[in-house]
Amino acid sequence: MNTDKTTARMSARITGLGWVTAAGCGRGRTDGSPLWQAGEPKPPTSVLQTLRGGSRFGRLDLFSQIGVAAVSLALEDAGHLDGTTSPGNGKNLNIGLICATASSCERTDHNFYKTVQDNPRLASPGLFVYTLATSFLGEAALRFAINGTSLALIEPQPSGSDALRLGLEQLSFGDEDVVIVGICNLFEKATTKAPFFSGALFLVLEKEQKRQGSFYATISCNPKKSGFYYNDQACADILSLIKII
Amino acid sequence: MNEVWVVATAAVSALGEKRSEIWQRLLTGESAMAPIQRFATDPYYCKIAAEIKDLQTDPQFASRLPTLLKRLFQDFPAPLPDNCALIGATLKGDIDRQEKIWQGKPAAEKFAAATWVAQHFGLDDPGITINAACASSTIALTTAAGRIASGQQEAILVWAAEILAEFVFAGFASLQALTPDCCRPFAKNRNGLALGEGGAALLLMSDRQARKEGHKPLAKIRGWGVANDAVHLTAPAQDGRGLIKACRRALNRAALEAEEIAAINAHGTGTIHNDGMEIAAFSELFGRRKVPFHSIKGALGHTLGAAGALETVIAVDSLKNQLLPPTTGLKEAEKEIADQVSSEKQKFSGEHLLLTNSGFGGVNAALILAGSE
Repeated sequence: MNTDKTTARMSARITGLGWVTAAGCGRGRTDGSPLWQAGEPKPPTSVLQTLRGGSRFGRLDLFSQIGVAAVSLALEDAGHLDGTTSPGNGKNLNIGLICATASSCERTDHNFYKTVQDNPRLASPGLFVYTLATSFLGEAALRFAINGTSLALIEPQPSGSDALRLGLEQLSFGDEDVVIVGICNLFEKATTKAPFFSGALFLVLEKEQKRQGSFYATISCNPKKSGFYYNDQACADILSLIKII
Repeated sequence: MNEVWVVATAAVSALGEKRSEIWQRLLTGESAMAPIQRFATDPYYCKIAAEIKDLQTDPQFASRLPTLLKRLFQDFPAPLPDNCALIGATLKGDIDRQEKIWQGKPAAEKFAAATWVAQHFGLDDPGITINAACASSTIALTTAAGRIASGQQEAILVWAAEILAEFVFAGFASLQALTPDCCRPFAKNRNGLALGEGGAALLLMSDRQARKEGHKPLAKIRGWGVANDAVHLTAPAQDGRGLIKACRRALNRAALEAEEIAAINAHGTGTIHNDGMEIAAFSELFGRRKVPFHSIKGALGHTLGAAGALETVIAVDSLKNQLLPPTTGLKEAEKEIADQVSSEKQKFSGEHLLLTNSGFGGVNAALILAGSE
């Protein structure tokens, strides 16, 4: 690696899109109706039950449920899941997971703290393990045998731009061939103030030279400038990107 | 590829508010563990933690986090370079403010730690804040190192801070993960972790910018790697597969062989599973070679999201002095590592130190530091 090469534009192919929002849950291109909208996402039970061991997902908090389901849908859309029976195709995928969140798991935090207030001796360990913004990434990692980088970025305002940039960096640095980047929010109090909506949406990014087959577009950025390019069209972040897809 | 230099460090912990004081007290084997003063521990089987004394609640934000950050940065070299970026790490941030709201007390203003750090140094951009369980600040460092090495950034301040709060204490107690008496990393009879609180900051620069500004390296970050176990949500893979992968990635990036690692600053929480996993990973990585290692968590407690940065600050001093502080709390080590960990300080000789952290969600991170020439 040298400076000249790495300060050149970083780019990847978008190969998958999955979402769980107030608009419903799904994968791939939409009919143009807005995905990121006010309202409460419904528990994505139908998606989770198709996964191996699906019944145990009922134990997850809603923040984790929508996150895992959106990751699953994005992976499926990118062709990394072979249907319903064998997530990960039995392989350890060399995939990274990066999630931006403004709400983190604040609703779960409150639910856990209620158990502390009720009786500290009986505080719920089952809730406590989901009081990390990254717990659902761990669930996704073990469900889909993903063993790359996994982290959450705490962002003051939902946009996903830092997650998208970090995903492109991970690919350019060579640690991963595939990075799933996205947004997952579950605000304690629902708002109608955009973009502070609850929901999860994830994109699958792959190195251009590694991806065979179909893809939506190339996403790129200049490492030293803000903003991204969807093919040649400028866009600011993930929330603006999904309007273009 | 740029070299990544550490040019300034700071730390605050229950063993002191200056890096040099923490280092000296660690060398004596002192522990900051004491009965918790901050909240009532009657309902809990564990009563101890490593609290920072007199860490007052900031009245504007109803949180101790601003006070911690003010102490962390009180003597930090300023101003930072104009082109300096920020990368922060914290798991639960101002959770003490949130506790008060849940208790029905008047809501105080939310403390945006990253924005505060930016304003403190007169920077416009708060940068990013990373949350990756107990490897949060290690991954903040790996991210910063990647950006500097690749030429995307020339200077990055990595900061991390975590406060002790009942929320987290009650959670670890509910998991039966806390020690009832004493944190003993890598001991045969270890029985759990003890929580701590603290913060750390490291100013990283490319060799090019550091030379231009007249800095000498305190240490260099030569390698880094991150990997997930993909085995269990809270328990580590007992064969250490994720940690091994993270360490191998770090070695590859540094273009080093395992034989070139002279010492290790381990995660060493004092839980049966974490320490067992690390012993398995180090055995696989280093074979029969007995690399000395240590953990500072028996002295400073587990500072969660701040642990990696705090331990990196200590590791910089370890490399400089070719000395590992004692693993405080350890009396009888697991048999297979009896000549690698010690309750006394250990001398070592070599240029490279490996630092590791792991956390919930199967996350593992490794850094390789090199001493300054």
